[in-house]
Amino acid sequence: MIKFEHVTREFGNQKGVKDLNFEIHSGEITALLGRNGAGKTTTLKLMTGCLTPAAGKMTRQGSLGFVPDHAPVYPEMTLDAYLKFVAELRDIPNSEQGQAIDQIVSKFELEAVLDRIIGHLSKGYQQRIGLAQGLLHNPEILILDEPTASLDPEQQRQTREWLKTLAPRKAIVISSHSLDEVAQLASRILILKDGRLEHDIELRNRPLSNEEIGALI
Amino acid sequence: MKSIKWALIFRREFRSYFQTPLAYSVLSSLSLLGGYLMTSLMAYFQNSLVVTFWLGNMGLISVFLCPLLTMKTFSEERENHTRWLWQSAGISQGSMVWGKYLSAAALWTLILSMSLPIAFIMGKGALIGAGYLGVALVGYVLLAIGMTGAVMFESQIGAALWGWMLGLAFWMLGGIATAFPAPIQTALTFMGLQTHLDQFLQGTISVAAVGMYLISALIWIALSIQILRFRQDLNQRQGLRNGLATLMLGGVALWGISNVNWEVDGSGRIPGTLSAKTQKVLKEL
Repeated sequence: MIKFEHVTREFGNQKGVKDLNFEIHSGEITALLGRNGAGKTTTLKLMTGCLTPAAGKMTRQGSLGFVPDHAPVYPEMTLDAYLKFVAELRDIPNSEQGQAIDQIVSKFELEAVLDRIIGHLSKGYQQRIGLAQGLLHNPEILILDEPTASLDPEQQRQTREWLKTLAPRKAIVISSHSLDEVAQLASRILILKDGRLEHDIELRNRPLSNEEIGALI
Repeated sequence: MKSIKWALIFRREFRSYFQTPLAYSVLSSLSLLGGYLMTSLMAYFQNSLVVTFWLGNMGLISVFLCPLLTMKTFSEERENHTRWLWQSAGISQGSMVWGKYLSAAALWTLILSMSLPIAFIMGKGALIGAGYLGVALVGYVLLAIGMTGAVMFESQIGAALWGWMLGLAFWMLGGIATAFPAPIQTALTFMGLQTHLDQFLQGTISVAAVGMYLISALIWIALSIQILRFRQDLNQRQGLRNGLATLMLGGVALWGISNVNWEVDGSGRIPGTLSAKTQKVLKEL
């Protein structure tokens, strides 16, 4: 569903990514790992089309949902107005918008704050809203950058469980610093180092412990 | 059915002006300043002239006001991380810039139109109408200049400073032009924002002037789109080529429109002259 062919993207003297080659398929949860500055965020943004490759080719098939590390929300809007706006942005037909919003609000337990102004809500709520916007249109590809970073432990557990239930029908890519999260969720890991793909490991074939993954990063 | 993206952006942006204090503070400060100016002018001039001079002042005020309306448009997207929302939804840079520009232009039109009833009570309809059109067009150019600043700078202050400095430079271009030799002087005078506003305030609407304002605004909007594209694609050669092509096309369009000599005179006087009343006041000045 996502294919990188010799993709390079650099920012002058700053680090970027170099000559990336990999494919991501439906039914996989792929974790993108690496130290700070390894090129994880650049790779995610290339996948989403937020950045274009300077060289090489990136192709993507299927609708896309993106959850960046900071929730992309307008603080002056109410949650209800924001979700309606995202529904329109994502071309959900008018007749289906209400149902899509009800489902996602229920999934992330946002009913109590539906008429509240987003800027007045806690960081945890905003993170859940960030997740909700990425999934509102039921995308075939889901890309998440640090999806559980601002959630409390119970919400983290729920989100991970829920991502697992989605996995068979979608291509999911997550970037995370939590090795626990990666070990629990990922069926495959891609490890970046200095902008290059250093390791590509199918965990279904070769399960790794947290320590082993940590040693590879 | 797919929604028209620039219209969606337009609606969100226009609402957001009224969900933050910006629109209210601009409207209230302009009402205060405009009211004070009008009251002061009424002490010296007759009805129509009050509105004419007041609109002249509004032209200069718009140089400082319009960048305030555009300075937040893109820096806010960066602060809120919402640009990823647009970009991952495949919204084009053109839709982004047009949606935001048109919402600022709509707010500017709304701000101006609030004083229309008083103006029409005080002055002659056609003369006032031409004056308002002139000030509105000046604002549309200034908003487009401000939009380019908003795309270029990370901070709102940077965007506002860009808008103020360039806006003031283009406002005074007619005066600055006198320091240059004849062909450059003619070109700079033609591009000066104040040069044509004076015509509008005298009740004359010329195609060349309307065209100059609209083409100038289009050039700045096109440059904003190119800069936004460049920031995303980082293809320097293509960005530079597109930027130069925009400027060249804009220059040719400006040259073309400057040769159109068609105008409508709504002042009721003989075209090309000032009314006796206006001449008397200007002589006294």
